Amino acid sequence: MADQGLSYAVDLVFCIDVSGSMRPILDQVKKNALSFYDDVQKNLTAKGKNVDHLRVRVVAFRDVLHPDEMPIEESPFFALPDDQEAYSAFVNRLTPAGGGDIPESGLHALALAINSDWTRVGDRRRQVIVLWTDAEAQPLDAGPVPPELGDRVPRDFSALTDMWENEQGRMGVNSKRLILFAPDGSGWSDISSVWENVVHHPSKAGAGLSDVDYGTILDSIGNSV
Amino acid sequence: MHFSFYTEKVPGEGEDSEPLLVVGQDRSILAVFDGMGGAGGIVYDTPVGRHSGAWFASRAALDVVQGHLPEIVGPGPEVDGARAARLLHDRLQEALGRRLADFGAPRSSLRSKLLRALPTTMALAYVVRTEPEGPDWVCHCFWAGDSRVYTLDPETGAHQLTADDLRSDHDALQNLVDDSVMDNCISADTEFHINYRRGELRAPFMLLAATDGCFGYVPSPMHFEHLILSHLHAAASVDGWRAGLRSTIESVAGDDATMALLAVGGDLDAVRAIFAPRLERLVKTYIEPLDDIEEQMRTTVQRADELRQQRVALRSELWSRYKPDYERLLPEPARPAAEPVAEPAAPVAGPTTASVPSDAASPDTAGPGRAGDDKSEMRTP
Repeated sequence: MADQGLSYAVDLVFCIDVSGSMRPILDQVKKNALSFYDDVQKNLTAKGKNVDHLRVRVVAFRDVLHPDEMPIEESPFFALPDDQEAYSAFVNRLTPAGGGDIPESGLHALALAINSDWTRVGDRRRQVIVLWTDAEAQPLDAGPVPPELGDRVPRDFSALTDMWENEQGRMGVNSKRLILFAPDGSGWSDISSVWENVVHHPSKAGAGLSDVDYGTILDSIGNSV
Repeated sequence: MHFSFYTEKVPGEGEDSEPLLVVGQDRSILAVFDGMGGAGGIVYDTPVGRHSGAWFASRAALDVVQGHLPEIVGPGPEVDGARAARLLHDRLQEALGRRLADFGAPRSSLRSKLLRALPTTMALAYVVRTEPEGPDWVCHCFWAGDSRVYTLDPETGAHQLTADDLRSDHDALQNLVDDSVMDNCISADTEFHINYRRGELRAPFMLLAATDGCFGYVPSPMHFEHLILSHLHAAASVDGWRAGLRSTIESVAGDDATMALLAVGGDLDAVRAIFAPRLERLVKTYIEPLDDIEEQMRTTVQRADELRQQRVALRSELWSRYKPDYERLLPEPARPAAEPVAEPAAPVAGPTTASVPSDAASPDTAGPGRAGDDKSEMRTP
């Protein structure tokens, strides 16, 4: 029989809150972001699944209502391990600053993540968005969106939900996963109770995540569900 | 004729349970259970060991079927399918609920519609001969999830008897790559249902129950049928058939793989002869064309790699020939800073020599366009 040897292509997009309130925990979040892809790969490899293509990109966010404080910083996809250095450099230079009031633009970052240029290679794919924040989500219609974000950010939460659930959209219906390390509250609780393919650890950016729960999250990405 | 096998991707951590295979003269039971590691990854520490919820779930479901199926389906060939499915559901729900309560484990802090407590699939076939020694059988299938029951017919080949409980409405080929999310599986904390279907079979036939590790890693659904029949064809014994099939599946599966198989219609030689024409047609019509194009792709990729290497070598070799003329008119590289001159020694009698800068143009060898310090020597047309 011809060797099947299914290949996996894994894309990860990390949305990281870099507003001022993240100062006490941003270093830990950055460390988690730098090790997450490695853990996903190990999880898949341990299950006999060959990861032939692995890429990661970062969408760092603050508050779009303060456009002078760099509300969004996006990277392209880094192919790992070749672009490991460039990826590490991008993550390490993220600094906590600005953001103003409490709700931050996590939903805007999530929209940009959903609209990423996802891979089309591989027999089986995983398209994973991981979001770290310590704040409630600012509503998408809270105010004007910087023009450079254009039509990549929908007008309201219903439209964002449609984007996520769109079976013809950029993310595969079965291959997508959204992992939220975000507190209970506006936006995030709505997502975890309604959206499919989501795992939510209610926390301030992952604080208090147990090893068991972390393993469960990795399994939910690596295994069929 | 019958056999079963069970393989674990990670020894000791297999989330499939052992298969169930009970064979009698006129009735048989085949069942497989696949604990769902993606949804049931929470780990429990218990006296029997530390395992995932998926690991416990498949074994608990096997226990329920072993213990209760005879009472659920009754003695005759016919079964009240809806009632039996409901009873199975209730027994499974009770058992898993009790097991979860026994664990007393704290609930996970995670929130997700993907995660379940003690989730498992089940694919069960209960097959009964309608008359003693007759050729006709009734097959009752009970299932939840994406483990399957198949029958193989000598004329028409493999038939999937159970429809996968998947969110996507894909066919068996699309499901090979699409990895769809399940929308129904047995679990301790989420409502589920047991599907039921009745079918009629006439000997000779094969019947098998398999988890997705068996059929989910082949190039096409046709290759799964080919797997079974080609190993039958090559086997010298039932055990050889089993071993060959298990070995091949284990080598390609990215998951635990479990199968229970029943062949009705004679001994190994008889069944092999009955299915031989089907194997031949399958190979000619489906397998050879697919394998040929796979081989062509492999050869093409290999050839492309070879050409890439040849290109690198050729380019390097031709460049080494081209380079001297190409670089002939480049300026000489800058000389390093002059070494400090040592204190002259005491003068001695005799002739002295003066060093001449090596890059000075000699009037005897200078020619038009020759590189030198004085670029005004270069002529332009």
